[in-house]
Amino acid sequence: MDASFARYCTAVCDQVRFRPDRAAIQSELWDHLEDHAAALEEEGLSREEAKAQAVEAMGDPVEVGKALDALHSPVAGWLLRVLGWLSNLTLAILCLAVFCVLISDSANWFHNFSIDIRTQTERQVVAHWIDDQEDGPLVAAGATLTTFCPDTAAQTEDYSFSIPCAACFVTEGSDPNLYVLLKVVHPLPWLRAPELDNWISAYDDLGNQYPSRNAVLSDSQQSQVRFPHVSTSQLSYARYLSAFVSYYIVRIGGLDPDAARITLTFDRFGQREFLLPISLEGGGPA
Amino acid sequence: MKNEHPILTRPQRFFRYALRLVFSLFLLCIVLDFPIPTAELARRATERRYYFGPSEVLCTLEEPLSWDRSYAVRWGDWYGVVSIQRAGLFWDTGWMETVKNDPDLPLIPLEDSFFLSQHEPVIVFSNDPVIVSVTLEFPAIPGTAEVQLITTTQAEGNNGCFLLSIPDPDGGGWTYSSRFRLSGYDADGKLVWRSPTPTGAPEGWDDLFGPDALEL
Repeated sequence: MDASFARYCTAVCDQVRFRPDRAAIQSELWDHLEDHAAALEEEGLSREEAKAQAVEAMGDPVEVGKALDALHSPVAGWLLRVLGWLSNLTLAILCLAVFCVLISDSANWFHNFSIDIRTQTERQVVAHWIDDQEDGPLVAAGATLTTFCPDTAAQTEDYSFSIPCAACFVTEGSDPNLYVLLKVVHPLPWLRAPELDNWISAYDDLGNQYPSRNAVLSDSQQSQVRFPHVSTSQLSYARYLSAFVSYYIVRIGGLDPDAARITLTFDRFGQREFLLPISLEGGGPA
Repeated sequence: MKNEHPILTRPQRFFRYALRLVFSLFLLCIVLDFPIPTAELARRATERRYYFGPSEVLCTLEEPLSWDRSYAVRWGDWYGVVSIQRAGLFWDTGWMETVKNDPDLPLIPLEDSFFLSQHEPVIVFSNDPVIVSVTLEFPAIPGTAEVQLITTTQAEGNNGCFLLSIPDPDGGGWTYSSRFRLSGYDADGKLVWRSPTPTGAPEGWDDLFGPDALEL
């Protein structure tokens, strides 16, 4: 080990207050001294003479140390170390969290980030819901089912509403029931699953009112009500609820068979938040 | 002791650590399913899910309604209670219940019915600053016992919010009651306002308890 180099580096580092950087500074100084000494040896000097000249060329170690101390502020140095520890700690926590998710609930977690369900699945969702609500398979009930995809959308401050699929279910001798798959997109994941259950009402182009299940009606409104309520149910099971999209089934019972258009509306606190008009014309068998 | 690895400068190291920290935090947020860092943000997110607000917080309820924290709030013509829940070190949105205010009524209960042995307090909002004490009375049938007049009082409200805990009657049991009466008193104990005495089967108040028993 070169004692002269070691003495010089020690004298320099003694002036640097931020101790954690001393090892790096010493390493840099040592490399520089070695390179300079090697160059001097190539010019014909002996090893000892080269080392001595290399050290002398570096200058006063105290002055060099003070200059390096100015560049290695203790405050900035400690802040940098804390930042490093925090980043390493966060990375470790992230790895642990990922591990925990993978061994516990990976299926639901990965689904949480699926943006949408496929169009085929949307139709199946509606058909399955109707089967469940109407007590049995549609074919056995002798009913007709017409599905269609309304081109309608609405926007509020936090949500975007659309209807990927709707179905009109008719049994002989009864008024049609309309099932609407309502899709709600929320860019902020903290606002998932807005509370729409049983607060959506509707009206058609013939002036009929279809109040929500929770609506409180005035006497004049009662006379215009065609059916007791519109029921809204959120599809809360994992397949249909993600961080950015929520789905609901809206059922409007006792639809006027002559109605050509129905409009969904939501105004729980007396402020009409959105309108979603749906054309009931067209469509095809499920 | 030749250094074969390039040593990063402080700015380079700062950039590397900062980038790693931000990226890790972002991924951690995703892995933890977007936790909400503070209770206030969770409260506001809950309100937005209900299309409610922005509201004024009247008070933080000392007895949360089956969740980890509850707030009594007011927004325009509406009163409400927002309840949120813990999610580890963070918070998650919860639920809320609302009631429309009637400025002509000094006392507005959050609910119009409740269970005798429920563990959640009955919340009453006051429109009259003179009222400092509220009493809730209702007839109930605990188990197979006879009808009793259950009374609960909160002597001091919190910014116009009163929490009335339903006492458990002797003998346990429960009953459901939508017929109750609220009374508001001023600082001197004088009756300021009383809701109409409910009537109807099976408990006729006057028959069971006599009109005098219900008066000050």
